[in-house]
Amino acid sequence: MKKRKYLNQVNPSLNFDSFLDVLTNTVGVLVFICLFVYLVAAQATKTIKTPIVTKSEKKARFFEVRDQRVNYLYDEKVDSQLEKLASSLPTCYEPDIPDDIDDIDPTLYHYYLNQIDDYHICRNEILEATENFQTTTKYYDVRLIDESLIYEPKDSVKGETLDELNKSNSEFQAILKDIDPETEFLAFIVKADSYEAFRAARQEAWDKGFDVGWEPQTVDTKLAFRIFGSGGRNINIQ
Amino acid sequence: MHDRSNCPSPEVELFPFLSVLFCTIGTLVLIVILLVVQASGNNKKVNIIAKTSSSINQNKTPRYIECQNDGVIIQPSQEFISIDDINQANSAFDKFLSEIKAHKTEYLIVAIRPNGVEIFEKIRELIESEDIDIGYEPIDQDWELKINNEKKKIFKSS
Repeated sequence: MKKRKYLNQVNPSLNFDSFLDVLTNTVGVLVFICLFVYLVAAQATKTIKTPIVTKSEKKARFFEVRDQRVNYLYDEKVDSQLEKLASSLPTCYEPDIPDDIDDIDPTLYHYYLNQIDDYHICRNEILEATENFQTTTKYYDVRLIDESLIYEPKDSVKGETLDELNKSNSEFQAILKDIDPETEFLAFIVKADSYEAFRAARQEAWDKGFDVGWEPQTVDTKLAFRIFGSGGRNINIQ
Repeated sequence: MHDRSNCPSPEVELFPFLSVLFCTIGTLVLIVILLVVQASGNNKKVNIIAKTSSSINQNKTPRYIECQNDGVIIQPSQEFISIDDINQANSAFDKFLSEIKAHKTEYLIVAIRPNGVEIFEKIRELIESEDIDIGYEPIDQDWELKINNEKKKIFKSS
């Protein structure tokens, strides 16, 4: 009997080395790209452009940036109320007292004395009226203290955040539409804890072609505008 | 006799390998994007340069100082001047201001840290009393100030 021969059958095998090579190479290149990109990004420097301070005849529209929120002062409303108050006040004429008052007629002496009294009464009336002046805006209670307008922030109302600023229906955008860049500029009073919000608001204003000025303040400093006498500081454009 | 033509030839399905490859590439690309976003978001290095405007800017070359709670740092030399020294006559700060004043084509950019506002108010009086032009910029407490002084070198050499 003829012995049957069986073929030595070998199971088909595949070599996956090529695929693994492709995979490993791809992973390696991408890991390298990861490291490279991270290093480049970490070393990158952000550039900030700072303008020089320039004096301007433009009218300031004031904002306070506090707690990373932008609050509009609505100071034009306060100004109009102050003007109303000023128009209702009596006009006090300072008496023109001669230098040689000791040598003049005693009757004239009494006349001048009465004039001085009248002047003081008039001044006191003005002081009483102005001391009692107080008003309110959307974000502030405003009072006149020691020849300065003090803006005290209301606890119940907060300004706009970074994210809200750029929205088309935000209050900030609405105010910008109301400002004439030819005659007015934006003046920001910036608390030391709110630089980020200020930078965002300033960029938005710059992008829309407005001039901007700003003044840094410590967090605890009260917001006050001197309206009588000397002192205080103008905010200029920069 | 066996009919060999009916034997199926071995086929290799490559889709699982390609899937693994694409998944890996996709994941790594995602990681790259995340890293870039994170690194750019956490960028703490800032360079302050002069912003040119249509009016008076900017034939002048800026010099830099940094205001912090205990004094000022002249950049890029990193020379620290304490608040006590600033108030003294002939202080290093006085000399620095005199140097700027002598060069008519220089002005000062002040970087103000959040804790340096009070110092800034003091030194601004000094700067303005010397009739030196100024620009100022708020910088966060943890930012690292990088001053590119190439322009200054060119200016000095010219």
